Amino acid sequence: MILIIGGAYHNKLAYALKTYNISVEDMQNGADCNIDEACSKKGIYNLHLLIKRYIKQGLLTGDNYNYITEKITSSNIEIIICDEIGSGIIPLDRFEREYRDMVGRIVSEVSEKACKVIRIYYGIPTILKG
Amino acid sequence: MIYLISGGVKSHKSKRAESIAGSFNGEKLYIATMENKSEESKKRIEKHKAMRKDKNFKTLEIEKDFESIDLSCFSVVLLECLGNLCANHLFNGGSINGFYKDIDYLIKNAKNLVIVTNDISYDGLYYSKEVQEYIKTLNNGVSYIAERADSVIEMVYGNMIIHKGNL
Repeated sequence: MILIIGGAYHNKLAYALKTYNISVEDMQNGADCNIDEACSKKGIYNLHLLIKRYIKQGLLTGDNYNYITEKITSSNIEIIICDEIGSGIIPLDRFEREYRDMVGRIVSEVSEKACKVIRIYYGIPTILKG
Repeated sequence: MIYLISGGVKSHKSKRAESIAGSFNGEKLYIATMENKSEESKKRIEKHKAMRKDKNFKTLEIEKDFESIDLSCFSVVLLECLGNLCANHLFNGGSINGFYKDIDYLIKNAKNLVIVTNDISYDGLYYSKEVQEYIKTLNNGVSYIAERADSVIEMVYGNMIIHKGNL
């Protein structure tokens, strides 16, 4: 399992498609895929938006966040792409705070289980692990 | 050579950019894209001008549409900054196309180029549709330059992380 992270719009998906020679059809989009099918393809991008949708639907609370990590790690998913969203001012809005925290916890867990972690900076990779 | 310098607010992006541009001999051009009408902008501009004093820069304040600038007599061009150029195109009577046209013009015509941009990628908040479009357009533009740049530098409070090439 390969984890690719980086800031918003840093060309993470383009990097993954090119590097691993896959097409966008092989990837689920966390922004709008069927939630039950999130891990059904070779990879997923916009994991942060999938997590946001989970929270909005009340499927994730502070205690059961590892539920989504297990869902990912028990699947055959090979490539996971997620925005880094943990910087900046702590949001006043409770939902936004919960969202940031949840993404941080989940991605850190995925990162631990991934064999390779790549951070993309405007399209340029830095290998953080593996 | 094309240098791209990004980083957060007050991370010494400009200082680094000016030091790189300053290492070239000959006349240097500084393109300032910030609007220069408000009091706050005027103060910032004065501060930057003072920083560049004695470094042999010609300053050109222009918000966008660079095609008319003759770059042939300058050994190096410093653009400060891409974030303003992008905003000027998106919100001040330009277009995404025009934004890339300006980038391409500098890449093609500057003998050496130093581009400064600011990093707005990491807070995860959803702003208005216009702001999201701005973040997307700017970062796509920065990635486009990064692909063509010889050197890509991230500034972190005065420290440098070199993501591509070297100094």
